[in-house]
Amino acid sequence: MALVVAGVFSAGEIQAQSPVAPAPANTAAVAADTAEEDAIAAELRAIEEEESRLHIYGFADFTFTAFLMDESSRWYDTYFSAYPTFAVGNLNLYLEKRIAPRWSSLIEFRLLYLPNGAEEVSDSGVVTQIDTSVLDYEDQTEYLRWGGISIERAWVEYRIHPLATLRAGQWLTPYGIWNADHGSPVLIPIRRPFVIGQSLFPRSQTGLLLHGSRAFGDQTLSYRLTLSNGRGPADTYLDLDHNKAVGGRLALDTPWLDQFTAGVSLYTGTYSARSRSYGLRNDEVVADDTLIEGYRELAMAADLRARSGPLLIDTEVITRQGTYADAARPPDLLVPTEQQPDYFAYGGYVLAGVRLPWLDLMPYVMGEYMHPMWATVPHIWEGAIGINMRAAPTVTLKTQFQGARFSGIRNPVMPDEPILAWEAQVAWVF
Amino acid sequence: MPLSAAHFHIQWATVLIVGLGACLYDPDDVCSRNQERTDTGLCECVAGTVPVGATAGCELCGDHEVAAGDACICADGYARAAEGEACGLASGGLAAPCASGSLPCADAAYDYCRPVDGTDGYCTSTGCTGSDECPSGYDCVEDGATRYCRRPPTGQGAPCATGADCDGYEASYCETYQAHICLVPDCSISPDSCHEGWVCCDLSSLGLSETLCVENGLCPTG
Repeated sequence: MALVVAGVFSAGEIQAQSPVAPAPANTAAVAADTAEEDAIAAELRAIEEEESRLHIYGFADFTFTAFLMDESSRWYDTYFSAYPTFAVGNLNLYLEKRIAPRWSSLIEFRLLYLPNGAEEVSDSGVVTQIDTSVLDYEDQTEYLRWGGISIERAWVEYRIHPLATLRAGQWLTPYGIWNADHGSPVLIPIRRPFVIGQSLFPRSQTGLLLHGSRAFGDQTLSYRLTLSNGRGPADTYLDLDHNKAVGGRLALDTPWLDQFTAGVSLYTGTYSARSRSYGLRNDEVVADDTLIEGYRELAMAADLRARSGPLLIDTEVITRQGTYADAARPPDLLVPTEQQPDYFAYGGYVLAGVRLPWLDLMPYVMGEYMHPMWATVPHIWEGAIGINMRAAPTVTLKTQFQGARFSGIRNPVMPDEPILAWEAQVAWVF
Repeated sequence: MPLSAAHFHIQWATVLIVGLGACLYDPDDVCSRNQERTDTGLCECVAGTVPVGATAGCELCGDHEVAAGDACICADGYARAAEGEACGLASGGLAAPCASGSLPCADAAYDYCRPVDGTDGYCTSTGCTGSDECPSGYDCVEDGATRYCRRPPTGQGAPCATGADCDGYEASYCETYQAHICLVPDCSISPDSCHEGWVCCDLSSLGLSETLCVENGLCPTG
């Protein structure tokens, strides 16, 4: 009995519901109760053990991409390959563990073939690809190409209260729908919307994140508050100014339709890039610190996910304002003799899909518009149509046609011509 | 106390409106000080200013300066007496009178003010390696780290009858025995300080306690 009580006690939340001293009148009933308690305790222990194990899992995707523009398209001269290509895109690994009561941790890596193959432009304008081939010391007759690792997330969190959990480390910025659900097997289209890819909010931040949620009747309000280094040349471990970035998100889940979730997000911070030069003054080494690029930014977003039966609609609107420091305004990337103006970038997308009863198919369409931060590219329009199929709970097949148009271009590098592509992808969880 | 759905929606709308109303961007002020927008929407320096480095905005050129590419240069008729100094009224071309620090040489080809008397001097060029690179009549000489084209001494070879005729010239000595011309006195024999084609002649063996610059081959003491 003492063991049973100890087991139940250790099970935590069930303790209050468990009879500590059963009535002795009915021995058979007591024995039944004891057996049931043993089973519950064992189950809870199993759950605890399972939760406290290190979970290693991940996702990957493999994509075929073919651009469909005419051979004479100038896009082939600048940004896109004229040659249809297979690629393993994402190969992400997760390490997750509940490391102690109330404490848990998540680390996510993306394994990369890069920098091999990344393009470099020489001073004379010749574009070449980085070659990381090195002789393999394991087999001196073979060369191998080494790649890189991108740390996507690395955090630990502590549940202070049912309404408040504090997360510390590098975490994905809580905004909108797309940034949190970034695993390709759970995403409906193949490519994320342009407005997401342009990182109007930082993709991830390093600092503190306080989060929690509370139910109000049949509605749930959740919040996220962030304090971080903000953006910077090495923001995952080095802040180059005194201004910490702050942000947050509020999301409301309602019982309308089958799912109706609306959210608003905000982020504001300061970007600083500095250079340092050394010299001698009065026989002492002194450093001159110069701000070479600096801006303040304010990003805001609103998002909505609605699901009714087989119909799903996702939409996000995102804005970002940036104002440069007078003495630290960067040159334009495409017209380097002139400098970039302050900007108000904004954009949004609407994705609609219907999950059909056959083969777990979901045809979808997506339309988006963006007014980017680049002064010489005022408008970007993009549309996609495709099919998503859940071949298995852990495997997703997708194919889509995608078109984009950059209109009103005022630089010599980007042609005012449409971009068309066809892609097919298999994405899987492991 | 549970919030009503209407309450929620009001809160929601308030957050959204307040958020979207927040502003950092001023569409009427998107460039740095002394900049304006170009047709491409980028920022460039306004007339009369120059960029400070690649990213540090633009600075106004000073008095009597004009913008030329990435630098402020002196306007026509003005020049800097020394690197980093303000543009001041400039002197003319070769041999024009100048004064270090107050009357610089305007002609870029003859921008070196060679002092002759205190700060006053004449405009000439620097960087020669031989007299054949200098204007006619000038010789290439070295003064410390500077090689410059030196003009002939003023008055040298000018006819004279008395010493008064050579007053005010660098060639202030009137040779009244034979040639009756103005000559440069008090020259140095080693190194020879006389102009090219002339030689410093020591006349002490003739009972004259002087050295004079005389034309090559005409020194009576050898």
